[in-house]
Amino acid sequence: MSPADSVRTGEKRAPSCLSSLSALARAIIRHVVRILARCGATPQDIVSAVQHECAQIPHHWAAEARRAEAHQAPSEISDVSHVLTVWFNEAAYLDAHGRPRALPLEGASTSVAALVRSVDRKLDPRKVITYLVRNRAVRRDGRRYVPRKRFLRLRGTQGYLFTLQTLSNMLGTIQHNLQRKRSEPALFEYSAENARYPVSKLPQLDEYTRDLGGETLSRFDLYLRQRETTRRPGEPTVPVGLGFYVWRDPVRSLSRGRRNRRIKRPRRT
Amino acid sequence: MSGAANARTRAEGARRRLSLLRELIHGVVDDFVRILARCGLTSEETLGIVREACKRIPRDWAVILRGIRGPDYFHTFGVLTTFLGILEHNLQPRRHGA
Repeated sequence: MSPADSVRTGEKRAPSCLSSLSALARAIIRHVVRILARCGATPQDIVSAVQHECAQIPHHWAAEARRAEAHQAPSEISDVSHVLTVWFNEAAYLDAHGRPRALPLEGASTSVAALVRSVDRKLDPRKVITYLVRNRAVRRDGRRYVPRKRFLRLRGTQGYLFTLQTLSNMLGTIQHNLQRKRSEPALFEYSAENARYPVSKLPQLDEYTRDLGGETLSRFDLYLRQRETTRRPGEPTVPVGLGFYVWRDPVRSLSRGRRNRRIKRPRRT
Repeated sequence: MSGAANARTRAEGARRRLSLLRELIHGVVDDFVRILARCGLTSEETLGIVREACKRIPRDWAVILRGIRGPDYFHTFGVLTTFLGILEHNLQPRRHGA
């Protein structure tokens, strides 16, 4: 497909991306409003806070995001990270050392096309591999493709959808834990924190978290995949996930002199 | 302490809690409005959806909970604020040379 075609396709698909974003945004707002109300905020408090914050948002942010959507990958390659899960875990795609094998695009077995179809028959292998190469998760080596890392950093529309989906999932868990009945188990939602962490050691914390989180998420990914592949035919399934995030206050880089957060964090008891 | 002094202390405590609550609400709303804007939602759209969502909130939720919020609610605000802050930070366009 020529670059011009890609752009035209992207423009045609923009409304569907937009409606996905909009549907997710609605779900998020409903979650946030209900959580704030559960915590004692009145609808008037919430609307007035949103009005106040909305007035400070530059108009060009939304316009820039919408313009970017028209040129980004279509939203339907949502299962693309699952391709990497299979590539890094399934014996058929691993070499003798347990490393993911370099694969040709086409081929009945052990090819990118076979791998992509094993994840979802509706996915287009060419689009998926183009997306993975563009996101630097896979590199091309002659006629073969080699995965570089098992994690995919999503950008553009995919990044927006991922952010909103992550936010929606997190808010769903918080809301569930706030309003659940005593008989219902809470979803896992724990954090470890320290009020006096040295600023000079923040880079090490970042590195440590990447190693720890990466290892844990890889194990979790494998755990999920094993249960997915051994499920009974026709068994009901639901989407599940585990997320990690590091927080610091202020969140913005301390060395760049950006604005500090305005609110004082509540002390936890 | 006299009854009047007790009442004044309670009223002062309630005012402080309410002011803290408003501060926390603004903190959460600040980040989530910014995330939605970065993802392409205009301020008018956000405000419209918020108004719509607020209409579905039972009036008694806030009335009942005001004054009896415990550590779990502060924990929720803490989690929300930090999580939204990280997402908003990661959505910011990268600046060359930054």
